[in-house]
Amino acid sequence: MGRREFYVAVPLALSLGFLLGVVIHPFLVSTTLPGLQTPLKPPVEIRIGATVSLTGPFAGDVGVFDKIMHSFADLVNRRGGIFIKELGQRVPIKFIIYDDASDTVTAIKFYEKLITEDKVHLLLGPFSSKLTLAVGPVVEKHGVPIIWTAAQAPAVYRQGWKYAVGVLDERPTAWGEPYFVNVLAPLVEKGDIKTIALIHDDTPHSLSVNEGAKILSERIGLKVVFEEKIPFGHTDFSGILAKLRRIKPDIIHFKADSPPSGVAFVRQLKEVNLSPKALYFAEPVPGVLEPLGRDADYLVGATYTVLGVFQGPFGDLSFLAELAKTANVELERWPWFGIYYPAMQAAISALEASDSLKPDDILRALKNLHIMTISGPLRFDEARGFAGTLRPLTVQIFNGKYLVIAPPEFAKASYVHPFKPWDARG
Amino acid sequence: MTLDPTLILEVIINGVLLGGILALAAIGLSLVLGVTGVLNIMHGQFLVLAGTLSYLIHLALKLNPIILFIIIPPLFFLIGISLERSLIRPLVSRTQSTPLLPSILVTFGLALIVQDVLTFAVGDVAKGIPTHFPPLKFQGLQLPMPKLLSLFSVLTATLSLWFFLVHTSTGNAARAIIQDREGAMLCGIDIPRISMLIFGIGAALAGLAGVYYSIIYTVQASMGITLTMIALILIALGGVGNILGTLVSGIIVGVTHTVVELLLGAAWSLPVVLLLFIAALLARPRGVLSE
Repeated sequence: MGRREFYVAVPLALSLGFLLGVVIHPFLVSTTLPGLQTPLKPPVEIRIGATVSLTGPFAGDVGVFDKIMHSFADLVNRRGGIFIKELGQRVPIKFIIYDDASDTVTAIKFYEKLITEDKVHLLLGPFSSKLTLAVGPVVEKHGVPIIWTAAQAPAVYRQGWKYAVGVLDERPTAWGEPYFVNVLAPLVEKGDIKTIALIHDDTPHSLSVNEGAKILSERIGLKVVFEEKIPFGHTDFSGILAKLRRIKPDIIHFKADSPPSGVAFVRQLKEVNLSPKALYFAEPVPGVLEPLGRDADYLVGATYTVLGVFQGPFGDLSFLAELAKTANVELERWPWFGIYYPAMQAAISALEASDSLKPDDILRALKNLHIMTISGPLRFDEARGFAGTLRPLTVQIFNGKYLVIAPPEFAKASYVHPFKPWDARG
Repeated sequence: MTLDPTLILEVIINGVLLGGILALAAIGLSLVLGVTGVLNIMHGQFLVLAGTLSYLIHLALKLNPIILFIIIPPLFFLIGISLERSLIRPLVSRTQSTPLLPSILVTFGLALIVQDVLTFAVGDVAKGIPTHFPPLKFQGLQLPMPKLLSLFSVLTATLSLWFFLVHTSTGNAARAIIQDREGAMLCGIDIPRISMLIFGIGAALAGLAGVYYSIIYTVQASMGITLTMIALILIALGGVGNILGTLVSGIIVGVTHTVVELLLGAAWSLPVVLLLFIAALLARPRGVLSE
């Protein structure tokens, strides 16, 4: 083999090896023997396990949530821990958290570890429906109760998993309903907007939200004039934007799970000076808003985080202020805090309501739970595969702040319409 | 929607612009691999580091992004030669005839270390500089200015490198090393000095690409190795050490990507690009511009 062929062959072999590693890895990590859980002894602490995407594409969505969970445990323990019926005493809680790197293989590995090595009593799910669908079979195999924190795709709740409940309302229209019904419908009636373009990536959640957008568009009389699916992590939109410039939709509805995709899309809209009348950007998370700066102004999207409206256990404003201070995190800046925290509230409530720390008792308590959380009433509906009841609010972004514009009962600001054209901005 | 000629032209131009930024990220790596025999897996991480540094400087000093183009590449030139002197040269001197595999392992390890340090220091969150470049309007076309600038940069870099390699004695020495390392050594060419210089140039080009990435897209601590892999595809397509080949392969990939996105949809862009890559390698295994 010549020197040049060698240089071509080695990178190719490396790339192939990299891919094979990704495929083979799950089989290697899942070789831990199942069913090794020992009977629960009176514990010195209640262990709650989870993975959080501290690195990788989802870090911009939830990258600080490990700090929030550890600080939450500290504050709860400073108040004496939680009361466990079986023991007749208060016991401290402990979160065991690993970084899943936004990657399904890594997430599977760590959920195995949490169950078989760390022997957690209860699990919280990973971020995104994509990771949830990957770890679900592992958790189900070991029979440890889990609360899905950030899984909204209906596919998650059609799996028939017995040990799982989720906090989110999984129906496709749940995501965009306040926006379409409360914000767009009056504009359609006035004849101000008529057409919508839908762009979404190929993750389970984005597919579901996009499906909901189509249903809602039809319901309020908007015509879908363009629809395109992009791969996860897609960052060059030249072809799509060239088409959109000719179609000129009134509204662009963009849903991608990967923050870098979202940033690239908005930047490239600006680069070609394409300004629709409204730009719905489903996930306006810090990983998108920070790189965009003031270019994020006028974007409309979803959040679950509105503090001070509802409470529930450890949900009063003074506790949350102490939590924010301890974790050194500005809670309102994180739209998905409003789903992770209710999952933590549900975890505490179920553990306190459970007859024992056995998995089946905790699971029973979870499934019978009906509590108030910081994001509203939460229960798990058996008819919908134990999906939850939490729904997002619609917000508009100005100067990096989230202003709730719908539904009306929670609105703190009026929707500013239309989207200010790029060339009219300073 | 009808495919009018202006639309197709706009998409092709956008493909060329995309190819420009892809090539800019790959040219430095190709040059280093060709001259030194070192496959610097750290190259993509240089790009991320440069993009992150640009973002932090911009955040702290609110500098015009144009100034970053003046600051970052020279800084990365120095980082590149420091890395070559401290890590690569001792490694190569111990593995004189086969520096490739050890260099992959060492630079891969270094890339992971830098990734972890960067994640610890600033988090693994997308970072980018908001800019206000108006698009260039021409005959009904609207072309993004940052990408036009990046194409201009990659063309300038390619021409400068070509001039350097063909019309300077140091460049001739570098070409001699690419063609026959042992022969060059026997002719008395100071390979360590040339390697150090080339490593510095490679890092400077990665730094330049990093500034563009932070303006056009975003950079994130964990994306460095992926960027190196994309660059390797372009190098395999263009030919190792072949600067013009890397630019051409970047443009082929960019145009294919955008045209497929227009005709078949974005979901087909990457599969078609990879199919094209395999076909090109089968037809011309030494690169598209090989003789």
